[in-house]
Amino acid sequence: MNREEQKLVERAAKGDRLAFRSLVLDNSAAMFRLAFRFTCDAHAAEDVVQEAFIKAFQKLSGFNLDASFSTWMHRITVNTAMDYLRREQTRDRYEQEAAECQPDRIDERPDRETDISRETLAAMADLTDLERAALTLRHFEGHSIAEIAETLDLTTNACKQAIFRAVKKMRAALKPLVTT
Amino acid sequence: MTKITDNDLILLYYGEHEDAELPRRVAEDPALRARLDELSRELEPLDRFPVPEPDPELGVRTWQRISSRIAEGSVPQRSGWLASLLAPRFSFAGLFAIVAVAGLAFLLGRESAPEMTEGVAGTTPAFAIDSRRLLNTRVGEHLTEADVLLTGLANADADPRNADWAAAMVLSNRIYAQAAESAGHDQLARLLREMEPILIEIANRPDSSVPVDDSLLFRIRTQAEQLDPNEPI
Repeated sequence: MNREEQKLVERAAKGDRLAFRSLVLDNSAAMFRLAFRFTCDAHAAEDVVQEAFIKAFQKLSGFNLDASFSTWMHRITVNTAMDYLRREQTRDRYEQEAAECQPDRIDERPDRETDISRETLAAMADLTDLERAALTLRHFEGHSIAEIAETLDLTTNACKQAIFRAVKKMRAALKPLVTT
Repeated sequence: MTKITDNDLILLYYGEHEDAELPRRVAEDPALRARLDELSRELEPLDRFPVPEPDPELGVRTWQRISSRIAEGSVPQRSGWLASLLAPRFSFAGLFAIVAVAGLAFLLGRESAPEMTEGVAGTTPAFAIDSRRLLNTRVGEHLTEADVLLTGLANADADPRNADWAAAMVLSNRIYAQAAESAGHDQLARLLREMEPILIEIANRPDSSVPVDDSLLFRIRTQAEQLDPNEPI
């Protein structure tokens, strides 16, 4: 965490709303991208981001200032997104959206691109919440396994196993697309 | 020499391998290279997983939606009609909510007129109390928003996103001023009318170098504190 961010977190932890606003402005886009990969829905992702920041503000007094705010925020966003998935039982929604797959944008692409997007969505839907979270953080967000283990409150080995299972499932699902 | 598994290759693919010899072994063995290439090829579609780029106003919008709830320490609202109603931003649903509040204020203004007949002498109808609470809550949130925005400017927070924030507040500020006037709260109406040109100036000056009068800030804070949702304005 850089000094500027650390100062903001310190001020926000004392109830300084303006400092927290700066943290929200600086981190919203990254949290949105993260949340979208879990929810596959822009409106839901925004809901997750809002809820995550409110949780963050409420927990800020217990935040360890030696830790990284963005890593901490990631953890809260991931947990909030997973809560959302459990609440909404998004498996059905994923499958429905995999069928629809944002028609406005993706229908303009060649059929093969559409197939790949649909299959990717459907394959992600078939992962467990834990596998999806681990794969999202590793593959899309570029977090190390150690960071992911901390975020998901897992041992490093359990985290690796979740990633191995996720990759194995994704390979099986996506293989037909790259061999045809 | 240990056998290299698919899991080892996954760790190598992500740069998380612990065996320092692994990259060399893979590079020297065509069969291993082919396996790693296959893994890479099969995961390549993942990179085309469609994620929309958030619009530039996402941060401002997120703050606008959560700021009042942070102040209250309450749980966040879900999106949908309720969030639209509560969100202090410019939208058709938000505009509807503001207009509804203005309408309530108008009714409250009429209700306080001498010729208005009350159901029971000396009592205030329940709907009127709820309406006043709604009006107080909404205007109080609006003033708190203005307080945060103007305090930032007073502290030389030259964030270009302040312009979007101020622009989103101009219309609601104007309608709340009318609502306050209709409800007979002249002091609040004057304060809101005084705020309008400042909000417009901030909205039109992305560099946000707008001087903020300390006395105005003080009055905004004082007024926001006085707008207890349980008391009529």
